[in-house]
Amino acid sequence: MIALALRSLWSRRLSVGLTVLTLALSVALFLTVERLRQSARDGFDGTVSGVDVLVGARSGDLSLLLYTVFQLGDAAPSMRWSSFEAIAADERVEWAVPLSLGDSHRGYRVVATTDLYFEQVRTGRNRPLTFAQDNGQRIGGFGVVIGASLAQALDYGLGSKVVVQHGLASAGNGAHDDLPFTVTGVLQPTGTPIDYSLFVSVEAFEAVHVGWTPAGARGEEVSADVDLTGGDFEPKIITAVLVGLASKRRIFQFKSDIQNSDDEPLTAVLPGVTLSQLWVLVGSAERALQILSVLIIAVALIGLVTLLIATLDARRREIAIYRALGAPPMVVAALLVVEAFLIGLSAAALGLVLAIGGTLVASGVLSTYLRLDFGALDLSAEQALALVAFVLVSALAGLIPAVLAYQKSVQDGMRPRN
Amino acid sequence: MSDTRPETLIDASDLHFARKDGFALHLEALRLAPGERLAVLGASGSGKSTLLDLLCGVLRPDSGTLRLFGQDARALGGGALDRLRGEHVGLIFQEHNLLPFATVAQNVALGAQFSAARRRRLSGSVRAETARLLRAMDLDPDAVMDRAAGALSVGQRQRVAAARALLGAPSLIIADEPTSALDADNQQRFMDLLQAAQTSSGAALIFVTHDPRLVQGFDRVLKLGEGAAR
Repeated sequence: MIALALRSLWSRRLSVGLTVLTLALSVALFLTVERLRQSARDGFDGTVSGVDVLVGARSGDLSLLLYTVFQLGDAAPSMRWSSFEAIAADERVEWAVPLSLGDSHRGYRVVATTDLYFEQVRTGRNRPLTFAQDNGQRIGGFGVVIGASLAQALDYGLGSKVVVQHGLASAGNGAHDDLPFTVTGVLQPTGTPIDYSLFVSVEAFEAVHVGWTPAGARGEEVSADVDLTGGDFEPKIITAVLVGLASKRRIFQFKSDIQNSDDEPLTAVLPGVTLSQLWVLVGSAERALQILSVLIIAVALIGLVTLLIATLDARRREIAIYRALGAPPMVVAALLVVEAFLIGLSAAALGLVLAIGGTLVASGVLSTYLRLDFGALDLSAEQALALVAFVLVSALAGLIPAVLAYQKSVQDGMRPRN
Repeated sequence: MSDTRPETLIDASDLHFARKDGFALHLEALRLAPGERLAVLGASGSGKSTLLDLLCGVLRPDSGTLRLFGQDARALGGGALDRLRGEHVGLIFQEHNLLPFATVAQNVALGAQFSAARRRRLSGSVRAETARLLRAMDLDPDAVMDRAAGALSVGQRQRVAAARALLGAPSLIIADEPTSALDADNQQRFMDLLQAAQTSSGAALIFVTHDPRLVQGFDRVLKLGEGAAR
């Protein structure tokens, strides 16, 4: 009987094929949307792992976090270096890493920091940063450490020369081409904006800006063999400070103290809390996407039932033959249910393949724009369960035409009048 | 269900059935024993197909007595009538009603697909028995077994349909104007093959036709008039 069902399906391969394709596209859309949603969350959450507090000049929590950590949105105002020193000296602070932003290299952000960044910052689930290539110099002197995706995109490795650009301009007068950096390390992929960043020391960052005015005019210049360790190039201002506290219990008091500091108006952000606020903000859009993808599947399933009912008329002779030869109601019902099951199973398998291909294609585009690693589709247990449910619901959808088929009289099928 | 054939296959009396379109069929009495040949003769609209549907349990009479293979047809549910038909009746339809997408072998095998009793009555494997019946219908099994039924000629399809009806040795073969689509030569050839196969199997035969020339050699002829059987 299964062989007959398969032959029957094959005899209607065009309409069945189109239905399978429609269902498969719905499944692929569902899986892809879910994957992108989860990837975005993982990427954002993973970028700030291990950082207890982010401190910057007075501004909005979310805008400070997005600019300094995710390199999104408008530039944050600067804070004084002395404030960083005060924070680093606070007894509650285990480590503090300064960040200076504003320059770029071929469209990729340059982050000025210290070697401590590579020791303290974590990504994903508390994963430390590791080097794919490393000559041990880190960001001493005019050394630059680059992210994995950037290294791959620009084909950079140890020893590559990097000219930092003032601001985000890709070319023109803003290039610090008199003081090129040399790649001293390449990080392993992290799936975060770090993969698309260049890291230099705050001293080198300061040095390339000596003599620069807001208009870009240049006065005195620094030679490439200058000693950056003497304190002459200690920055006056930075963009933000990443802080790790010795005790998490004192986090709120520390935040409050920073916010109420008399020395300089500062903002202290708890990254996890602020990200939670972000997810609340975008949560309704996420839910709308989820509902939309479920609705798409529901519409596709209705399409499946419609197809099966529509083909009943063409198949009434086939079904009448089975019944006239003594097929019990269960066999006729099972025939249509098995057929719907096979269609659902094919659609789920094809949808999975399309989703895997789709996320591979989409990940390249989205990584470029969002600087987050979406990677290949990694089927979660919930998604696998949803696929199983989809196949079962497809099979159940076959019950509707099955009931209708059995209600048609045998003689209607045996001696059709048209 | 028993594998043994009842002494009386059909026992009907004072049977009445009315269709929704107003057509009414009345059958005073009909008995059919194993191996008997009954021809049902009547013009179009005389109720031949309706009578066949009653006799094979597709329709239930409004009143009267109808015992099919020893059981009261009016007391049986739809599922029980399906099983009874599957076990005891081999049907040959006016338009052969083969599955065009299935092979000849699959079409013939359908004859025993839904009845364990018919499968038990097979003397060999389904494929071997199919080959035997196709040969009995003057078809070359090697040439047609694995061909799609839709690729056969009209005459070949009708003979395949007869082989399907005979598979599993049913007690009764019901043929509903099976020769209407055949030319005169093929009609006679089909009748000869069918009667030979029926005789060989020991089944009874009810043969419906509107052509009086085809009823020669039948034990009895039941003539249906306009709206009633006499």
